[in-house]
Amino acid sequence: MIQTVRRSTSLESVISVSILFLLIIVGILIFSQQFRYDEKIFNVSVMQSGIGSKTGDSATEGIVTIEIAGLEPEGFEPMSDMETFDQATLSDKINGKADLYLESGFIHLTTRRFLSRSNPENWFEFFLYDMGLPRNAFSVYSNQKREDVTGQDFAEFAYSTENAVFFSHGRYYVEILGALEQESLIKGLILMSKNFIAKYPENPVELPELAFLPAENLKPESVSLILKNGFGFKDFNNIFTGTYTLDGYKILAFVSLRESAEEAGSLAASYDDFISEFIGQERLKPETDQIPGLRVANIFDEYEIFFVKGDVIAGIHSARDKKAGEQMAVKLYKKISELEK
Amino acid sequence: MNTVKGNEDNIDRRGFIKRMTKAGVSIAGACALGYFFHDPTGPTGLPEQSLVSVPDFSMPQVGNRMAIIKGSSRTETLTRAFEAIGGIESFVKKGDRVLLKVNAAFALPPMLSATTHPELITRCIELCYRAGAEEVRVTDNPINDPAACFRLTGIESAVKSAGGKLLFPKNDFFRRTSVEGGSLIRDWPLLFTPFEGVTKLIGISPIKDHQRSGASMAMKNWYGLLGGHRNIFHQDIHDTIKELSIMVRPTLVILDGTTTMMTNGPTGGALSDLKNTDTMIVSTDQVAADAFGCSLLDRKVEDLPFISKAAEAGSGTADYESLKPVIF
Repeated sequence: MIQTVRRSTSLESVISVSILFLLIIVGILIFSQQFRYDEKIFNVSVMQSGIGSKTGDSATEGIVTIEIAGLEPEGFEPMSDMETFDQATLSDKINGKADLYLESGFIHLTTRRFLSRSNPENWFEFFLYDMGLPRNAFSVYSNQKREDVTGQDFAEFAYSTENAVFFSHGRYYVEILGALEQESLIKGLILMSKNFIAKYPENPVELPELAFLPAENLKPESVSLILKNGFGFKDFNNIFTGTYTLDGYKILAFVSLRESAEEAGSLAASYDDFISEFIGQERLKPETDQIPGLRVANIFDEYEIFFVKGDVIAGIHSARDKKAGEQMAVKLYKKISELEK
Repeated sequence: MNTVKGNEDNIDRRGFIKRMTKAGVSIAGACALGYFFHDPTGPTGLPEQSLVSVPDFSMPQVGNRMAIIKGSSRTETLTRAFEAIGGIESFVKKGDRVLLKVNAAFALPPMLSATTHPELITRCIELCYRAGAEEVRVTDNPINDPAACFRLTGIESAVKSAGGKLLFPKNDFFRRTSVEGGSLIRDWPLLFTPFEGVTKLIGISPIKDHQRSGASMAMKNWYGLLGGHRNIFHQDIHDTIKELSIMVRPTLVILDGTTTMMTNGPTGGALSDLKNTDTMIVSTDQVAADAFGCSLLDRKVEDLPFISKAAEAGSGTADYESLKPVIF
């Protein structure tokens, strides 16, 4: 019996070897890739671990590292490694307060603790929030500003309390929280703040709107910047507010510089509609005739008073007394008019 | 004739069997290899788990009890509060294994009142042991650096000094849970192992302002039992707290209003965020505790929707006065 089998051609052999070679390459790639498993793709940390980021160091990629160590006051040394947190991990560090920062343009947070060499009870933690823009940094600074604090002049916006120092520096918002209520500690924290500012200089923050708020009767520490959704109105962004005391009433004045007079007018009309549509309150006749186009609305026995002057929309929010509210609105109007000249 | 030149299809039976055998071995080999590499758990890497629930630790036979005690010493006010509701012996019996769920969320010093005060923990452990408890465990899931949180808050040393057992969260302590009737906490990691073998549960929390929910008190304290990237719950925080109140039925809650964080919560950071309100609340009803607690924050029940939501869900009453609290 003779069995003859056709031999494969050289082309078939080349194709077969190529396919085998390709399969081997694919096998090697799969084998090597499994050692570079990225749990983020499969969200294992959410479903399985229960514990979130052990440290927030996932944020370090692509972010310029700000070195805090070396800036600490004499007698202190690093107590922990530097940690950084991004938008996804910020809440791991500050829990429910994260939204305040996330809604204000937060980019990342760097933290580090320092310990006194002589007293293990004496330590502090440095929180450096990169807010992307100076306005964002000022916003989170101003919205958390405490009452009855000691103003500091080492930065444009800075204060200290019995145990901590807070300041806004360019795009950064900084908190240095001490574990003791101690004057010498505060002095050290202020020194560290100065060291930080010297090492990482920033341009001054440009906030021209602050000039619109009359200085008389203003509680300086009350000045704050609402970046968006001011007074529950979604189009109210970049609103500066300040608290005044007038005729025994606390009055909240607000002012916002818009792109143009048209935009300011349009925003005022939208706010008027918002009050009508969503709150449903009717308009009241102003007692003063010193502000052209002044709008006044009674909202649950509080008064919303606002006007447009050039490219500025300004007014009084939730005044408890109509007369005092209008008086303050007149002062605000005059100040804006002065600056317009 | 058996031989055909040049036609490979015409093979004899032996050749055919040989080829079939080779092909069969190849196929079986490929299948075996595939089976070897097969991952039965899929890309999540999760082993199959059944859902767990937090046991009901409430004691309806004791009835609803509440004490609101004024004073600046936590040790004293807690002791008096327990006396006012019939003594801790009414709740903790000989041989009980007690779990204290504290708030150790941040690595901040105790003077900032962002976490459960260590003095309160020490006293509570002492009282539990005095009542005959066999074991007192303390736990929380602070997410970021639990070791630093427990150490710097003073909780670790407080637990050790009182003879308690501190349980740090570990990955294998978590099991999936779903809140019955809930729509938010579904199939979510829960810090469960500390509950195993436990017979009584006491929540101990400070009273704090909270940027998202308006307040962090007894019910919000259970949030620390959740794992994973739990910050997504902040998007609907009031309903989440309501579901937490359904998920956890404690024996008691201790709400520490000795120093209340009035602003910039839940982290605070400055002593100027705090106010001495000199009040200790102990209650079998977590909703009632929060309903009173919010008054120390100068807030009304209506300002905090989670309170009425929890009450509507049957977790307790927002009308704390109906419990006839002992107040002194």
